[in-house]
Amino acid sequence: MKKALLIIGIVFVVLWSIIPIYWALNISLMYHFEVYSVPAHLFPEHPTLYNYLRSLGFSVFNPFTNRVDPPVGYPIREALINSFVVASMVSLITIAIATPAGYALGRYRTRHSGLLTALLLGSRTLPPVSILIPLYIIGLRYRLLGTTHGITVMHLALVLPLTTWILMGFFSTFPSEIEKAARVDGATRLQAIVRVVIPTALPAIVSAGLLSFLFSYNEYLFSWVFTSGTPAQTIQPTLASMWFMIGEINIMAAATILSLIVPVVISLYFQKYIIQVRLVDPYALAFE
Amino acid sequence: MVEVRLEHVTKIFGKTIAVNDLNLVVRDKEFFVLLGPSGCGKSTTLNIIAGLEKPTSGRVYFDDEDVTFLPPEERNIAMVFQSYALYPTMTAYDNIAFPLKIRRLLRDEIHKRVKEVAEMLHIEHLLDKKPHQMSGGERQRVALARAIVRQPRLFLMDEPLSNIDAKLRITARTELIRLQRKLGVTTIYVTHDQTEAFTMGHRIGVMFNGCLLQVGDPLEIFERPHNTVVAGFVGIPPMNFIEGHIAYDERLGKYYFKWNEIILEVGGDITEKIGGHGKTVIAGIRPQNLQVIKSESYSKIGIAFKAKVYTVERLGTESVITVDIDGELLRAVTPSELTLSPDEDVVVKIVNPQKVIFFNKNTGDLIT
Repeated sequence: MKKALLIIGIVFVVLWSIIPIYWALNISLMYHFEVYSVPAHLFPEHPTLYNYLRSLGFSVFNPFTNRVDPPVGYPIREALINSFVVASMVSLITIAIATPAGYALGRYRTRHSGLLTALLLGSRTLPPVSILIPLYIIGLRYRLLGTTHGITVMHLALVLPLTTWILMGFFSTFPSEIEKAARVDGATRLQAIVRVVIPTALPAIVSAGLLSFLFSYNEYLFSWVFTSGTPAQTIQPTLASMWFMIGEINIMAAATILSLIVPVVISLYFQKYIIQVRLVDPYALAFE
Repeated sequence: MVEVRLEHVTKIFGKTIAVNDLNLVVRDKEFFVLLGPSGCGKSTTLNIIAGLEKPTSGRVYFDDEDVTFLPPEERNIAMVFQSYALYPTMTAYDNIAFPLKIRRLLRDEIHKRVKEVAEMLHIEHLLDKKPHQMSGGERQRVALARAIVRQPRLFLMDEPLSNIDAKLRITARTELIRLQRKLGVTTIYVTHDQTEAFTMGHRIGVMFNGCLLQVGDPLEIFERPHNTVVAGFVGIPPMNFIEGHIAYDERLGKYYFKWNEIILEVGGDITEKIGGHGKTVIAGIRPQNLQVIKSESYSKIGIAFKAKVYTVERLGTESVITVDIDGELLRAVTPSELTLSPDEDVVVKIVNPQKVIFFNKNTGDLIT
């Protein structure tokens, strides 16, 4: 009985969150005339990649109007590429900065580490909007508006404190004896970090990188303020403004589904990694 | 291989003094055990010798070389940790080979040495496994192999046997002793387990609250502990302390220690140091030096007194009897054949009065 209720609950929650995505997928595979059929079609009667190809900048023959339709006059493909580039740069730079920072904060206690960690966490308790205007002014002054590297910098400002915090937590539970063993075995401090600590911490580091990738890819507000209407426009503001710019709901659905591919693939991979993190958890290893 | 000398080593963490003015010489090829309860500073001392911690003051010498500020990687030492600290991402082979790889030895030489050590410790079958696929005992062996593979001049061991189960620990203990004697490498071994300390060490150093209280061979520590702290820590069950006073018998011209019915003759030189008649001293009697006899089979030979059985703890081959003498509880070890029940009246006999030792009541130091 209890199990049955649980299953009903799970089914409800899954349907609740999956139906909008299913509907977008459904519409994205239809020609324009079919979208508004009454009663609505649960499956496309003439499934086609017409919308996808037009979104990505190809001319497509439409058998129902007997015409070749031009690509949508809106930079969806460019926005997808922009988002991917920005998110990749954000995650790589995050790994490069947050790993040593998290290691230092997690491993060593100095006079100021309490203040530093408080600042790190404190910066995440502020609503992001509160730093939007100052960052906009900075962006204006240093010509960062409407550029790919500009939005990368802004995303880094948002994501770095959090990833540093996560990695700090990881490194503070990392058994220091492993590092000590490497030192005694003849490794210098740097060798011990490069050859023992980082390989052991790799799952956590990759997780932090993927997390920041997803954050940057999905981020809307800053992307909109800093890039909309420029060649650097990323996918989120593009999707949001399509309503006014295109008005063809089937094309919008196709663009939405296209934008989901990267985060879905990464999430699936990420999930696998989370399990791995648990498996090679050095703390559990050292003390079980 | 090397003689380790610590001179006035002190380590302070914030407000706590972890190691307090420690002086110690560990002889070449010796198996030296640092024994003490947890938190007494023994691991910190080991870390200072390894170079993982810098002493707040004092010096560390390997032979005549001052290594106080030498980083650990340049000391040519090996260490085995309580958690083994194997590298989780590497196989056993790579773990053992790590110290050699970091020294850029040739691949063939590394292979030869790893195989040799693996054979010596019977772990050839584990070489392809990762740490999480091994049992505790197997990990311990791999950690040991990693320590000996590069022929260091000094072994440091931080409770390496405390994480494996009791049965395995006994075999591991004998193997470790055999290995140390065979390799002849100076070894400093930290433990809180006195059985380990007494069975393994050539000499033992007893630490308490950051201070090294006594250094000596096992028998010396057991029979002539420098003070009541060492005496109380060493020995299972712990030593009995009774507070009595010195009395002078004018008729015989001798000094006696008196407490209740117990009257022990005390040498004149000891009495002189305490200050003579009427002074209070603490007598230390090992439970092994007390014999419990049933009242009816008692014949009046030697020094004996009446007591009441308080508790009986059976340990298999022997029993620990706690007896009550006027509210004072003393422990005695007896063969387990003797069946006693609580509240039974018995006679307790001091087997060897010469082995009773006396401590200064104020300082707790041994009076010799």
